[in-house]
Order: sequence, then structure tokens, then C-alpha cells
Amino acid sequence: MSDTPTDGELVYQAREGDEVAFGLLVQRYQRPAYAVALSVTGRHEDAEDAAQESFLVALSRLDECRSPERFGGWLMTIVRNRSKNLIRRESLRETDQVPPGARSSAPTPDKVAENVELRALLEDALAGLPEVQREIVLLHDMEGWKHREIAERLEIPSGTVRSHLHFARKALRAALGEVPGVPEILRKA
Amino acid sequence: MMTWFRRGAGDVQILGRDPMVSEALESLDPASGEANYWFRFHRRVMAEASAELHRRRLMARLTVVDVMASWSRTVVPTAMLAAAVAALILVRAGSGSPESAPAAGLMAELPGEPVPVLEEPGAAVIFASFGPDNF
Repeated sequence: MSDTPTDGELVYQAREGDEVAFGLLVQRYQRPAYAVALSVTGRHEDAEDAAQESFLVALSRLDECRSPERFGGWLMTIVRNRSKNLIRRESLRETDQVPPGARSSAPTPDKVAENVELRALLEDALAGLPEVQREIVLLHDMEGWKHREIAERLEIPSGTVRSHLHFARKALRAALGEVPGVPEILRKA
Repeated sequence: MMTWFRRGAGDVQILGRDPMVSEALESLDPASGEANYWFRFHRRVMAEASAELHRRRLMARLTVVDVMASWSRTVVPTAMLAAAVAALILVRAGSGSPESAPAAGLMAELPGEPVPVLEEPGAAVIFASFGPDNF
């Protein structure tokens, strides 16, 4: 038998206030939660806020998680909803504009600068994809989730996951390929 | 039916990691710019979750005995107070004549109230009759 506790076990312990159990759940899902939030918001700061808020919402509603073994999928739904709410709130606060260049105002080393550049390119390329494709490509190619895991968590057929992944990659490759200098950046990154 | 296994050398990557896309997406990982990003993320979530976790621990520790004990802390003094008040009322009521007290109250005349007088039967008949002399 594996020593790694299942999601269900951790959820039951976290319901009773077990800090270690909840900590393990956060550790297990912080990256996927961020990836899903990023796929919806498209911005690092918003994705970070939405992912963090989602863990707190999940904890407060842990008793409503009817299938603790499927905590991951349940959490991702919360992340998606929180991210959408955040975007809605942000769009209502349109006046609060970030000055151009605010992201990279501090002097950065070359590597960081290239990373920032590539990041901006990717964010634009991802923005052109449907939300579900963004989510799948980020979970698969950034977080290393398997098709089966994504299918279970998103509650869609595995074939659909593959299909979305294929089209997302195709679009990303095309978008990145059109931008001069990207292959060089990728080689250096 | 479309298969994802037999589409040419380039598409074999569909089932695994796509090196180019994966490598590009790594730059979106916040840890690529800050090594301890995920540690900080985790610590912040845990700090904000501590109050709720504490509340849950308290709730989980509560047993039936605890609930009964906390309940009895309120109910027992209230019941004792009610019993003392009831006893006091009984003692005070017992000092008079318990049988005659309600009856005396009922029999007592209220001040200012006219006492009804039973009139003669004949008078009432005369007053209410309509004889031929009246028309």
C-alpha cells in the first residue's frame, strides 16, 4: 500500500482542521490551480490571487465536497469560477489602469528580460485560444498532467482532451513561429 | 475515426510532452523568475487558512459530553433560579388562607360599580307592554 495519502484521506483530515493535511492538498494542487487560473485570467497577478483565494474558499466549503476523492476536479471548478469573478470585477474597475511598462520597470538581467519577453509573447498567444484549450495545454505541457487526469478533473472525455491539446499546440506553435526571434529565445531559455 | 498515434513523426509528440511548447510554457511558471515562489505561495495560503483550520479543530474536538456540559452550564442555574422563585411564591401564598382567598376576591364589590337590583316582575311587564291606550 502506498504511503502517499489520497485526496480523500487528506480532505477528511482537513475537514477536522488538520493543518498538515490541508498543507499537502495545497502543495499538491497549487501549481495546477495557478495554471487553471492563468488560463482564465491571462495575467500572472490575477492568476495568483484567484488561485490563493480558491484554496481558502475550498477550505471554508470543504464539507460541501461530496466526493473527497475528486477534490482536484472540485477545486478546479472553484478556481475557474473565482478567476471569472475576478475578471468581472477587474473589468468593472477599468479605470484602475496599470502604466505601460510597469511589469518590467526594474532593471533585470538578460535572462530575466528574455523570460519576460517570452512570457508576454506566450500570454498573447494563449489569449487567442479558447479557454478550455488554454487550460488543457497549461495543465499538460506546463504541469505535466496526463490526459486521463485532465479528463477526470475537467470531466470531459479523454479523446476531447487530446483533441483540444492538439489544436492548442498547433495554434501556439503557429503564433510563436510567426514572431521573429522566438526560436532563439526558446533556445536560450 | 481519427487516431492520435499514427499521424506522422511530428504528431507523436501529441501523446507526450511537446518540447517546444513545454519549454516555452516554462517561462509562465512563476518559479522561473523566483526560485522560492511556490514556497511563498504555500506559506501565504496556510497563513490565511489558519483561522479556519483552528475553528475546524475546535469543532472537531467537541464531543456530545462537551455539548451537554456547555448546555448544562446555562440550563442548570436557570432551572435552579426558577425553582427558587416557585418555592418563594408557594411559601408566600401558603401564609394566608388558601381556600378563602379566591372566593373573597370574587365576592368583593368593585368600588363605583352599581349593584344590580332585581325589580318587581309586574313593573317590567307594564313597561314593556303595548296596550291599546298607547296608540
